[in-house]
Amino acid sequence: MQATKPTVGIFGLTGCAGDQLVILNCEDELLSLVDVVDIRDFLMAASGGDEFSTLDIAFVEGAVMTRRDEEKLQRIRRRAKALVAIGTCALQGGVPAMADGLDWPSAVRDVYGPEGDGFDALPARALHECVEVDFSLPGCPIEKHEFLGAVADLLNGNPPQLPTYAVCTECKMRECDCLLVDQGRFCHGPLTRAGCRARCPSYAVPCVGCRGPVPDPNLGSAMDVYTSKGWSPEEVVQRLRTFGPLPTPVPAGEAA
Amino acid sequence: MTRTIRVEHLARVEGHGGITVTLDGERVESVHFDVIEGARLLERLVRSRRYDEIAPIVSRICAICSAAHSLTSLQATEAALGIEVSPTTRLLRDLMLRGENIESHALHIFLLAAPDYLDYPSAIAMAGRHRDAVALGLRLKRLGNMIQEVLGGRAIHPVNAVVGGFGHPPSTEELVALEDALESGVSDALTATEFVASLPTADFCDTETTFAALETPERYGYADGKHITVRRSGTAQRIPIADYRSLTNERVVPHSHAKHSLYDEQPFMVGALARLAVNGGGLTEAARSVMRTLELQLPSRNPMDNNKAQTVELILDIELALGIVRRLLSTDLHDTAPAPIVPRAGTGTAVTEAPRGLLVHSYTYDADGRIARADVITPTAMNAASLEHHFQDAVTRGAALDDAALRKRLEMIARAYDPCISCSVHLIRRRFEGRRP
Amino acid sequence: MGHHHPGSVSPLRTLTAAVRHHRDRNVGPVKTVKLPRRKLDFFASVLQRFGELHAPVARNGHFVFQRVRRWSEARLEYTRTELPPKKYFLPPRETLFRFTPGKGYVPESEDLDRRIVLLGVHACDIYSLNILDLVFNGKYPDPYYQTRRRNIALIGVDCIPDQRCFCRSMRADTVEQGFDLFFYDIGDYYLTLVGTALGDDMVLAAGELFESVTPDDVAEYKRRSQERHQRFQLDVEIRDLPEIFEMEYGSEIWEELGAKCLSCGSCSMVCPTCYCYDVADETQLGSTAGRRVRTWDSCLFATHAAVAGGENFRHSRASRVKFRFYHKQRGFVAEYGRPSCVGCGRCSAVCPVGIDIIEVINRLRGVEYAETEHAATR
Repeated sequence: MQATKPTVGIFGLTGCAGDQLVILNCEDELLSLVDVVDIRDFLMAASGGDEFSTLDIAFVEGAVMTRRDEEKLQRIRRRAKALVAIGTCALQGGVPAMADGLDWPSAVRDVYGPEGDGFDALPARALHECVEVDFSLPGCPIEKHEFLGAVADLLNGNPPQLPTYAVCTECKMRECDCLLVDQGRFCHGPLTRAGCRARCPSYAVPCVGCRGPVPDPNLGSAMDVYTSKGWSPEEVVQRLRTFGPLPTPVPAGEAA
Repeated sequence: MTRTIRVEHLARVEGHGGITVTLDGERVESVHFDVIEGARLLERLVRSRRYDEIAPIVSRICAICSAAHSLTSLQATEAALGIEVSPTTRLLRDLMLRGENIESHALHIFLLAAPDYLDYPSAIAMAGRHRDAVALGLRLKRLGNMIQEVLGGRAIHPVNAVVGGFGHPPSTEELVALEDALESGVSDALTATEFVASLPTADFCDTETTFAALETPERYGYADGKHITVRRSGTAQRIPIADYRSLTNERVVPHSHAKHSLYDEQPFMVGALARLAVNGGGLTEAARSVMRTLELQLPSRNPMDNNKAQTVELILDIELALGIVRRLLSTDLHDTAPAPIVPRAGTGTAVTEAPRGLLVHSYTYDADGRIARADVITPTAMNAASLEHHFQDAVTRGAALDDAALRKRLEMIARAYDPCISCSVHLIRRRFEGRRP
Repeated sequence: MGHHHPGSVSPLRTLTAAVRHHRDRNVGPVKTVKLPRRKLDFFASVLQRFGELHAPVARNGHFVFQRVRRWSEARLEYTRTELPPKKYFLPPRETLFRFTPGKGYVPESEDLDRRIVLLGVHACDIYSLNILDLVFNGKYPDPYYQTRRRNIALIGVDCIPDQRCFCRSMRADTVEQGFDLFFYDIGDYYLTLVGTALGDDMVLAAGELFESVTPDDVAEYKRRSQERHQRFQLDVEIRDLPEIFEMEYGSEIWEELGAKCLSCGSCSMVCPTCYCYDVADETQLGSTAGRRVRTWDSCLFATHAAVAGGENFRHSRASRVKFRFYHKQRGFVAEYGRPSCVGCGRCSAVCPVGIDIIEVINRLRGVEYAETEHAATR
């Protein structure tokens, strides 16, 4: 049992601030949360943060897209005993990373003109591409229940427990109609991590893969499924590359 | 003697920004609203993507205004592809925007702005002495989120709003639950008014301000208007929404970094205060009463009044949302399912009012229904020039104050605008477009 | 005399009690009566005295079991439901108990004593519950499952097979026990087999609704039954299937299936006899109190055979696909004497990559895809 409350910092790099907003959206739990942890640094909600204190847990959302982001991330890593990446941008680069392979400096110049060359602008990188990450919470944005569960687990010295199976599993648990098999729509469900309780299919909207891929995606077979429903391979690749770069294929017959 | 007032990392706002002001004696030399946020180039990245993929991508521009980005995007796509939506769909979208406004304003007033007035670094710190107020703010915020969850499936990055309509309409049970929550919300909004009325005054500025908002003549609304109205010195000019660029053009301003949107050579403000200036005739009785309680005079000459304007919108949105929910309870909601879509080439522009002000999405599609060009102009980008104008006024008036006091005023003014800096990165982008041959 | 006790329920039962309960339920058909078809809705309202009435309803061209408030919502002419009735007895997610360190645990019993009448269950699905009984009433009795079995009545209804049904091959197209009542459609009537004392209570509660069966009725049943046998389009030989599975352990079909399978879990979720589950504790914020939750799992998941220390006994996807088929058709036989597959056809209906158990079996057997004369195009 700890005598003092664990210290927590909540940070955002380049992103939409959605994962930080999820934390603020825990309206019913927010006051209990601050009873059990000492939030030292949370720029979006508090001024006068303490940038020198050690943190027991640092939650970081957003992708690394500037040198400032990199330096900030390094500073956080140095201060934090445990660094938790939260949200798809932090885990795999997020929507800006759909540019996978695009010449980023050219694109910046294309949009901003010659002044773009002087910009602090880098292609999107996930946190783990720059520093060691201890835990990850997927989602775009993260799920409230997964965040609160992760905090509860971490406070008890346990790693967060998250499903690694596909959205299809949760879809079936809810008895949703299968948009891919029955309606031939482009649903990312079989390749996407569950945890969202198949929210989109429950509204008859195909999964767009916002939570990132399962750890062992079978891309070769998925390509066959989608092309058999009428999409071109180029379209399939483009769609799979919406919330991050193309997932790493796993060789046939093997798991990750 | 030169003096530099610097706010390096603006806290309690969305995104990353800073303020730098230099003075020579009592004369303001330069004023910068620094946008530090990284560039994500989303308008560039959506090129060649099909119409069904666009809204989920661009909603990620910003989390707090994700419903506004999502719905404005859908409207722009529908305008481009010639898709009509049913009146019920329009009603559901109206309700969704009101829910977003309620949540955003509650978040802003109680969690982001109020701590300054009461000298706290955060709402969390404030909760010790002012637990009821913080709990009230969280309750109102919860109400706004509940509306967005019922309509959109999720409060941040909604999933249920699609091109042509909705995946599933809300169920009767959900609407009844919303009705109950909104009924409780009315008294909460009135308590919120008392709280805001009790806050110390913040007369930091006194200067003529130009306001721009979407004109919705029938009722105080956030979508489906045909014109943007710009109000200044008792005059009003109307710009058809297709001509949005005449408002969001940009020029170099001698004393500042960022290139600004100026209308008729003047900076303009968007947001709640602007909406009241343009659509104030559409207020409900209760909203008018709140305005009187808060002693809010229009036209305002002080951006700090934006906090009061948001309080007025809280009661207004809750009342109007309640009316919509009651109407929905006696409506067949099945005509919200999208009809089959036939892609075609076309350009469409949609303008709505996000919580922070005017939001423009304009798309050009090719014959396959893929984006050829996308333009997104956000309220905070439009506000940059006006922000600096108000910084300048506040610093001029407050030059005798010490650095800490001046810094606090500048921060409070910045916060009063409720800036959404992730969105406003497009501000920097506009620089180049203004100078292209 | 009924066996269903309203009110308090102890979720903890001994093994003997469980077996006795199992036996008491299944006394075999004690009598046969018939119900006029047009009086079914009246009977449905009588049934509501015995519990919440649930039946298959149509939804977007599919069928799901759910509560019906008006009998007109029900659709007894259905092929298969999305999820089988197992969802009532082993829910996808359930809290087992809540715990507080220093104070102990409290079993969760919130919905265990919900009395439900499931009307319209097909023979294959009733059969599947008899199979699940072997597991959950067996060596490690599961009080949650058992309590629900006690509190949920089953009324079966017969059906016409579609192009995916192969329950006849799996010997699950008829069932002699495990139901309280079973309806056989004989035109203007439902021939009704009474399976338990509770079923008898239901018939008696309906007063004059049920009529005596005539020899003509029996003849009509036999005629239709014979006709139904002919309607099966799939035929697969299962008699020496376990042996063939044993012999074909090294078949290259497993690598092929491993390359196709997405490990999406759909087949396991919809299978009436898949019962694997995962158990995890969820703690409250800032304490070590919490609850223990069990959720459906699947042997196709990469983590299914992973153990503490990092070893994974079925690391490759091919090995996991193989395991699932082996468990259904070989492993379960060794332990319980019959395959756990009931031939309902759900798995092949939902698989996104079209893995089809019939094709797998025939491939292992070395026979061409077997269809009877009445096969329609797939």
